[in-house]
Amino acid sequence: MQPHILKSAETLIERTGILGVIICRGDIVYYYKTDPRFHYDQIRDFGQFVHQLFSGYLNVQRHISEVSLQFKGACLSVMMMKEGEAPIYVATLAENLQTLALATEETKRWVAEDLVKKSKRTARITSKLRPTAHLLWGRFLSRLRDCLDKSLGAEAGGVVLTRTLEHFHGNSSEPLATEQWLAFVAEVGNQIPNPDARVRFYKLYSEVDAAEAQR
Amino acid sequence: MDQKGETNAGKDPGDFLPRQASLAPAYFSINNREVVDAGGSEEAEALLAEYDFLFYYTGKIGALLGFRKTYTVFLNEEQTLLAFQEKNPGEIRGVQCSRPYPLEEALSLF
Repeated sequence: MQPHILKSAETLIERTGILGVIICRGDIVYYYKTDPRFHYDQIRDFGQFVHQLFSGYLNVQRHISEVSLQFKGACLSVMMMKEGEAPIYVATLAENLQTLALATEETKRWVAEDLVKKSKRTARITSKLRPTAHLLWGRFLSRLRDCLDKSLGAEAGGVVLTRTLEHFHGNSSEPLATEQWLAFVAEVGNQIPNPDARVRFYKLYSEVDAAEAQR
Repeated sequence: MDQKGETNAGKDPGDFLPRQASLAPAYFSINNREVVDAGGSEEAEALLAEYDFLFYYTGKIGALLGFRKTYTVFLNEEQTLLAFQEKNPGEIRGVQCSRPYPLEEALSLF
């Protein structure tokens, strides 16, 4: 994602007091910054429902560009920025329609390509730091795998990690964007069917992650 | 449920009939599932089906995020705007326009 979009999203949340911005690519949440009341589970399922809603219309050749919804005490707007196999949706959440209207004025200025493509500068840095990015990604996966193995056994741990990578259309040799790593950890947790094992995993991972941060 | 006692909730929108776009905002009402001021029975059926489909999904989205009950939906399409507003249970006010509206402008329609 282009840095100016990230900055714009953050500024929007700070200045307009909206409840959040969620960007999805198909049914996958690509980026989100929301009020802490929303958990990743909700945001992930939200992305899937939004995709189902828009796909339902696209299947009958109806091209919906924007859906705005008003609930009691909150509202949201979802814009489809790009159609195709991996459509891009930008969702804005707010407490009232006036704030939402102001915020969507800003998000409408965003360009689909900027939302999902790396900037030239980022690409250049990434290219230079490619071995480092791969190393960090490898270490991140290794930490996750270790915690999974200890929480639910080696075989089941491997399955969970594989499913999570598939969920993100990723693989172990291509690093995901770092802003997706938090969502990745949450999805690993979602893929663990046993609630006790999930708690064990989160506890272990938070300890390992804290230790890693201090290094 | 529609006049025949069937609900459209969650159906594929492919089941819907094409809507007639009007040149000026055209208002209609749905009172206890009876569509008032539609262009004809086919259009009335299509509006009811669309209402069911939209409120089925938007209700799910709202519930997921912890929001209470959907009561207004604005749907911008390439050349149209369709909006529903639930005034009271079973009492819905709707509007169709022949162009999409930005949200701040759409708000003034109700």
